[in-house]
Amino acid sequence: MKFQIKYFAAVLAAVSLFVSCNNDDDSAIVEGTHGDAELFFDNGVAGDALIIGNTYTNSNGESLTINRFNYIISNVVLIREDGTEYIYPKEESYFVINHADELQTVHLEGVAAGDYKKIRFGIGVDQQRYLQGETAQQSFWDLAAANDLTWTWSTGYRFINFEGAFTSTAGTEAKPFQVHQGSNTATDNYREVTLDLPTTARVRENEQPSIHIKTDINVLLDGDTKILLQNNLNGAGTAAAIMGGQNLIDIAANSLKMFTVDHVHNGAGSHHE
Amino acid sequence: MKKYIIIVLLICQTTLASTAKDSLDLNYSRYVPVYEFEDFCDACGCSASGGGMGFSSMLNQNFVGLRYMYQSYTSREGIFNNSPWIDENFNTIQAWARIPVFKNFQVSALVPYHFNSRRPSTGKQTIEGIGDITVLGLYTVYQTHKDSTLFVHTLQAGAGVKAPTGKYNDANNGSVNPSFQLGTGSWDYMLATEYVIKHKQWGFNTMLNYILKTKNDEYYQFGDQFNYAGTLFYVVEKEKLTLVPQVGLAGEVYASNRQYDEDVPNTKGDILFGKAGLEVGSGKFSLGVNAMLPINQNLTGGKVEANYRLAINLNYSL
Repeated sequence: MKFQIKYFAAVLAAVSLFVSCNNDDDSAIVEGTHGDAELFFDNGVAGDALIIGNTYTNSNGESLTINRFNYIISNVVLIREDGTEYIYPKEESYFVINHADELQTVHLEGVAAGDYKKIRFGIGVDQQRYLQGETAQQSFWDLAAANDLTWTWSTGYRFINFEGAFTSTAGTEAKPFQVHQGSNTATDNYREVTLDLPTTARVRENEQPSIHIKTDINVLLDGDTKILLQNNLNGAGTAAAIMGGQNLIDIAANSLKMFTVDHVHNGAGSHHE
Repeated sequence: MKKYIIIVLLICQTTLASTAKDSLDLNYSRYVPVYEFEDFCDACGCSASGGGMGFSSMLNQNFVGLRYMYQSYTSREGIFNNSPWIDENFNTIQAWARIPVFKNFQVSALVPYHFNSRRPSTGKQTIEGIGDITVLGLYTVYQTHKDSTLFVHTLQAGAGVKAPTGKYNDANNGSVNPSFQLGTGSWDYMLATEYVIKHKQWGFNTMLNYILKTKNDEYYQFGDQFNYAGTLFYVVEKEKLTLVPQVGLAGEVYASNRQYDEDVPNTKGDILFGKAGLEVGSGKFSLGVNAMLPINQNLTGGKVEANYRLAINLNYSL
């Protein structure tokens, strides 16, 4: 018996040799180096995936069939654990998300290597940028226009373009609706949100994090403040349009809860395309 | 419920083993089934050496064999409540052997070959290749084989290594099932114990093992895994055949996966299976079939569901 225990111990000892062959070298941040990062906007409706043409019913008792959901993301800032920030160059920091065209990824280049714990970005275009004038931002204006995210230059950008048809308890016939969020001469409806990341987003020369953001379109009308399309019908009662006034201020407030970060992918390569 | 099962198994292994003090006469009976430590299913099939098939009784202690295992999973592709569920098929062909090295000491080796497939929205994905090779040393701590003894006990304990021979591909580690891999990409270590008690034609097998997983080159670390199983079997001896029908429970508990030393959310989990099988021995050959159905499960934050597992094996006694 003694003999056999000796063998057993010998095997255990042999096995333990392998344990020490572990590589604990973490890929550290090299100051002065840069990498890429991406934000992926996964558009949903109250927990379900947004599917163009599908109908869902909100808690306002209205059933919406969505056929357009486009918006502008801007002024991206990545925030480290100690609160210091990496601010993406402002001139480059305007992006369009177009659900129907599957334009869902914001690609950031030349981001300072770092471990990021939070992200901040704007919904729409800030007044400072808008007031720089048309020539300063012509290429982005053209992109926004191509995605139905502009009025005229004098009235500015649409921050969110949310359109479709709806039925309400008051009437069963489907009527078109348009929700066009933006700033106007009366109010600045540009808002910024800061989101916690569930795990660190690691930017390195050869590592690109993908921050997977879940967008909930439902909160725009069915968030903290309830907005009924039925109460915003035109004079003829044939369509609902929300493009100004108090509604836009309420939508701006509701939009602060439109985004959450679902998860973060780390490592080399692109993760969603 | 699972906690109680584990506790019962632990008690079985410790108390029953300690009551069997005398080793008596080592009169070998060729019809004492010996059970395998092959329950090393890694987080839903990745580099699975055993697919949780736990109980694949051998009619002889030392053998070489081949085993085919199939595991069916359904995983949610996407982050939404209405995101589609896709089928995942994990197939494994495994060569295995259990070879005596010294008296009361055997070495088991398992060499798996995986061919796994799934069909996400981006088109069919398949991965195929050799998996992680496991080598396990088993020491028979205690054994009685005397026919006159009311109870026959076998207690074995061992330790092993799983080598990163299966390819770990970071690109597969996306939003669906993190275990859609051929291997963990890491050197992993295991401790195993198995206790078998027999009374006349009846027997009960308890198996516990723990797999400690390390960080791979991509800084990904699969969660440590604890496997347990209890199986009741009955030996029917015919003139030319030995039949061993068996039923039991098998469970797996996974710690959270880690990447860059951070827990990956929604990767820990557990599952409890009910299982049934039959083994037929004739001469030097034995043929086994085994099926497992989940009783309750919570894998990968509910985003992965195990449907069932099947295995068939053919062994040749040495």
